[in-house]
Amino acid sequence: MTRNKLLILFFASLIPLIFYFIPTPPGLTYEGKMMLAILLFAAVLFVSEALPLGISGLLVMILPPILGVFPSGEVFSFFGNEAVFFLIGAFILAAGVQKSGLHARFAAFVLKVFGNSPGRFILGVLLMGSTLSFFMSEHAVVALLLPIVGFSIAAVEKGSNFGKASMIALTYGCTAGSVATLMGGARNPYTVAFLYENFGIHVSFLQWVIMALPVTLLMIPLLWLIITRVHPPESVEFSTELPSRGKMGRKEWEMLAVILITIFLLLTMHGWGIAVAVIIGAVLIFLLDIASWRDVEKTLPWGVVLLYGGAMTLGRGLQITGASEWLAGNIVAVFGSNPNLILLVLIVVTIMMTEIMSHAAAVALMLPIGTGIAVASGLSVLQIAMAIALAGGFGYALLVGTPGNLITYSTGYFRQRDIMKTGILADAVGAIIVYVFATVVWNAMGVL
Amino acid sequence: MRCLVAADQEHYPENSLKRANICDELILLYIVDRRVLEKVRTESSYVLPSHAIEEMEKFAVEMQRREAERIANKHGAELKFVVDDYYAAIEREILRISPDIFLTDFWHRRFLSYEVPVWVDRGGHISTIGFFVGDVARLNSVRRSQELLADIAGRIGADLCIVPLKEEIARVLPGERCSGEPDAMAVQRRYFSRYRDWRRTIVLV
Repeated sequence: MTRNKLLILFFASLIPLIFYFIPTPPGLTYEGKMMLAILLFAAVLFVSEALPLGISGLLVMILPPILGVFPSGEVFSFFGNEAVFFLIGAFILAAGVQKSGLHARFAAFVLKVFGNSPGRFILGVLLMGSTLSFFMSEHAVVALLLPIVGFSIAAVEKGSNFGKASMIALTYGCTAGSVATLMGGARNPYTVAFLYENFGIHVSFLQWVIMALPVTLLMIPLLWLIITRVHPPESVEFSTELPSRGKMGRKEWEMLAVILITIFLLLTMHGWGIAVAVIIGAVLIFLLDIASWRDVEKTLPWGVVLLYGGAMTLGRGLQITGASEWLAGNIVAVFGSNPNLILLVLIVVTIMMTEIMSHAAAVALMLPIGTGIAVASGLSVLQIAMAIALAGGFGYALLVGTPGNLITYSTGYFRQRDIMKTGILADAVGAIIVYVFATVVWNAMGVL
Repeated sequence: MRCLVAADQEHYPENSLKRANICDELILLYIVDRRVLEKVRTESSYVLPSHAIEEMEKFAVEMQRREAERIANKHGAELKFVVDDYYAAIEREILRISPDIFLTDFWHRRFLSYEVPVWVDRGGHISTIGFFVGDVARLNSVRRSQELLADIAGRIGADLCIVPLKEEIARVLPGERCSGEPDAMAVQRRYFSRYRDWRRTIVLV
């Protein structure tokens, strides 16, 4: 561990200590005060990444029992939640897709359809990334599609706008697609679980899709416009003829059927919650021998699952102790309770946070505060939570905004300033779209 | 003349590579910044399994290697491809191959520590090269640098002017051929005078 990280850890560990000794403010309990300390502690760890995020999640879970906020049994029970099993099931499904090669087949198809001009190719990359991110983690999709896009633009010189635009489109497509369903990012099932556990609000897979998918569908053409205007692609030679995969094999058909069955169950069996259908899909993968446990082990990112534990501890802990209500009351007292302004500020702050920390961590920090503010100012909790969850899926401008940005950057096709130029515009457009949906469209659709 | 040019994805030395046609031997040092790969690993480690990260890293390095080979072929350069820290890699390569000059497009204070003359090339036509010396009387002690600059001036068809830093009034001593611009030289002299600790030749264009 570097000296800087040790220093950060040292100063972060002073936060609970300082909070322990300062007097408890009126209206707040000791437990609430210490949960605020844990929130601040978690924020420092999530931003600095002094420890791997999964370990930070675990650390956040063990602090409440140490500080006497909750008994250990209660804290660990926060983890036992359907969203965790949804995540695990979704990762197993992703392993099946990867093993069957269905993603490569789909990518080859999209590139063939869209590959007859540089501009259309970039749109194809955006669509390919976003569509696959409906069913798999956005980061996994970037990693899987990287060799495919890389193969297509292998002959393109670095520094060319087409190369820049293609790689930026890959990460942007996945980011935009990740908000559309519950499978694209861990923050989505976390939001569903948070709403149910703390407010008894049930958001089904279908309801999520109805609220979030239109945002993605609107973002894709706008992202395409931004990318192709900022980096107008030149007329260059590129290949859309990926190495031949022959006819679609049995495993690919079976995997496609598993996905369709899972989606059908998710959309229709609302009483099952979100985890049952995905686990049925995961079991089918083994019954049909599409992937082995070894394949699953290779693709399961345990860090996300552990981070989830920390996020749930924060969310539930702040809620139960009344800390989020106290914090929200003070924020509203200082900044007023104009609902539109509050919503806009929450969206902008969340987007800014996603630029400097993981999406899941940003949503984990913002949801308890945002929903607390919603309660204190009479806003719809669902509206605020969904706006935060969607805004928390952005992070277009900085390399650390999302791992996808860094992964595509590492290929050398674009520079930091190239993605900043498009990213600032994309973040701004995203903020406006989420704001308009939250204030106008969702109301008009009658989903709030 | 043996020239070293360094490139990475953030610093593509376009001017230097164009200028490098005056070199007898050109070595292109292509650096994949190790810190970028480390950052990718750190940022992705909680969302992707290590196996996927390793595969991705290999692919990204391979893509950069292809680009490095393309640049090297285009400019007829000998390629050295490394995954390392940018400045440390240049320093190591300078010690290893002892080039006559290091060509770069941008200035960084760290270049001062390199044991080689550094040419910061801003591109465009060069008509005069200013050679700034602390004391004209001790010109003999920098004879090698003067010869190198005379060689470069000859190769690009420019005048070489020797400018003493100690002089209060701009005065250009004639080099091999000199019809330079004393005013411009005076401005640059003031810039150089701030860095008394400079020991090596820096050519600013």
